[in-house]
Amino acid sequence: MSDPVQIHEVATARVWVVSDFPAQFVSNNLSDCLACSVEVQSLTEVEFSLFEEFQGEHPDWVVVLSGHKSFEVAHFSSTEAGTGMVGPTHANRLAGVVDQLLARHSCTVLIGTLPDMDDGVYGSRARQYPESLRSQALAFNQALIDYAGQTNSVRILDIGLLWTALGKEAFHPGIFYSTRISWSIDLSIRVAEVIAAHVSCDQGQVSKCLILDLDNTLWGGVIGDDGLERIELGELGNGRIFVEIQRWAKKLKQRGVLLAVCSKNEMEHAKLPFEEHPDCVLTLDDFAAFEANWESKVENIQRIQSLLNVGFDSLVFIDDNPHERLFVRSQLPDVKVPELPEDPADWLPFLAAGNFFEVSQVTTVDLDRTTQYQQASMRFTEQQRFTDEADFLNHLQLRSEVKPLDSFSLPRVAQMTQRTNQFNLRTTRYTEEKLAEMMDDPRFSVFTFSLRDRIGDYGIVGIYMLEETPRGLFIDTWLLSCRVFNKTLEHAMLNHMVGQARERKEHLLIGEYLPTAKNKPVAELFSDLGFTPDRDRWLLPLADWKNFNSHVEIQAASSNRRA
Amino acid sequence: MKNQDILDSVVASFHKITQKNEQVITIDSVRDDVDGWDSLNHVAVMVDLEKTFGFRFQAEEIRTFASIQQICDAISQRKK
Repeated sequence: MSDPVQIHEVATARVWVVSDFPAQFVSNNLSDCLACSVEVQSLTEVEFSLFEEFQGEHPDWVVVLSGHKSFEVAHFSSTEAGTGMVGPTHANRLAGVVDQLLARHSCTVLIGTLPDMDDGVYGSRARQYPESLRSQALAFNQALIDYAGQTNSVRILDIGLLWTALGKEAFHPGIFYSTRISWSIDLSIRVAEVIAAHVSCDQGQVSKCLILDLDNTLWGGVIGDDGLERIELGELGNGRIFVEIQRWAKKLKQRGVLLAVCSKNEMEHAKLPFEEHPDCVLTLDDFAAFEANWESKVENIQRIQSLLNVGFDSLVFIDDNPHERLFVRSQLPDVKVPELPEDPADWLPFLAAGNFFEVSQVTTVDLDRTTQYQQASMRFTEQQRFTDEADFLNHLQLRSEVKPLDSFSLPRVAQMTQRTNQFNLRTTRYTEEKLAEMMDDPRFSVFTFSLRDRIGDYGIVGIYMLEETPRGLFIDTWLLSCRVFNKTLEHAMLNHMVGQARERKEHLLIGEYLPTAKNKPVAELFSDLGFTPDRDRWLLPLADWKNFNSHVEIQAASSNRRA
Repeated sequence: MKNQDILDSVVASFHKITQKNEQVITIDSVRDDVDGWDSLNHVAVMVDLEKTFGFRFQAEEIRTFASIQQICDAISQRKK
């Protein structure tokens, strides 16, 4: 830690894979899927019956997989015993084991569902008989879904969806009867990929923006050559395909993914279909950024990246032209560039199955994200009127509301710790469960800062977490959304931290900077704010400390009277 | 299909799955001779060969294959 060039790895994910059948093809492939981003420290396969006694190192993730063949056996036994309702019983027993696990470890649990299955005993009408294998498997799944709905620590791993996509290739009877391995290697690999996507997503690797080409991507033909009436959109030519692709993009936008245009076009041509074509689903309002010109796609994507201030690895770029894709991939290797099938008709199934937009949780902030970036562009226009930065900030009338962490802000705070990469001093990722524990722990002070100005509301954009230590108050976490850099909010936050420390009768603030590949913007923060270096820590004695002047006015919420 | 081609494919599959490209595997090799021929790699080789040749082995074959000769015979029976 004393060596400043040493890169602090974001996290190591420890994953337990627990299954009632040999699932080594899942766990072995999981290490491969994760190698690029997180190290899987231990993969341990145990039987459910031994699960409760299992004593391994503390896991971050536990994956519980039920084999359909073991379920068939349980179903048979329950029919013999005359009860028949094995699905809910089985699910409840699993839930009980998971509850006990969660009482001991703060981790996220992924529970696998059963596939669509039947044994033909009730002909084609199995669904009408509650005791049939098919009905019981579905009842098992439903009980698990209900259970996962009750706690944030439990998520559903939709094996059924992956199974259906593979069809007959999901199960290899010959191998099962020789080895008891219930899933084909192909299915096991797909499951490992989805588990890896969950883990990476919570480590902050989230796709935040979908960048779209226009001609032959959002409509058929070339708007500049063919004109508004002859591009394929709606009933003309391949038009139905492009309507659906636009609907897909719109649904992603509604979920909080930003949309951007990157097209080689004249601006007036590029905008025309969104303004005037009757079958165009997307409108200009849907885009957080719109780059239509004759510069290279790489330059335009770089411009979009800097405008939205998100990492290149959170961008997905869709373009029908293989040369453009190759060029972008070679110049910007972090951008995800799906290699689209040749026929546009195959694009949507390909994109849907590709899992390019994994979700950890959706918050209300996600849903107004596009509005916020549009407001950002209004602010940018206003800024042109001011030559002096300070005048501009005063003109904005920045106000920040400070609140202690509460159950309402919990999801947003967890999400920010997972997604914030630049202004993040220690890059510790928190789950909602860990935060809930900290909320009740008097050693911690956690405050959220929301920001508004004359143009709009940013929502919660800043968080700090202080921990009482024998030496002084330790800044466990300090982060700021990239949308509110250069507004002096960090000064107002430090003022507030000092106030909080003094209220606790502390006389020293202790900071730590753990470098990552992405948090260079705050490498000098503690030094700029007047902290003095002390080996691997930064110290701020509070005795003679005077508040910073900030352009942000702090407004205390009712529960907290600090100014 | 020529027996030599089948043998080459089987050996290539073992090399790939065991990640030991140098080890010498012949038509006379048996399970104990081949480094890395454990139960998991056995399954992986079966699936790999099924993809190469486009058919599925029977349960009994998967259970009893213990030599390169047996595997090659099973393939050549179907690929006459």
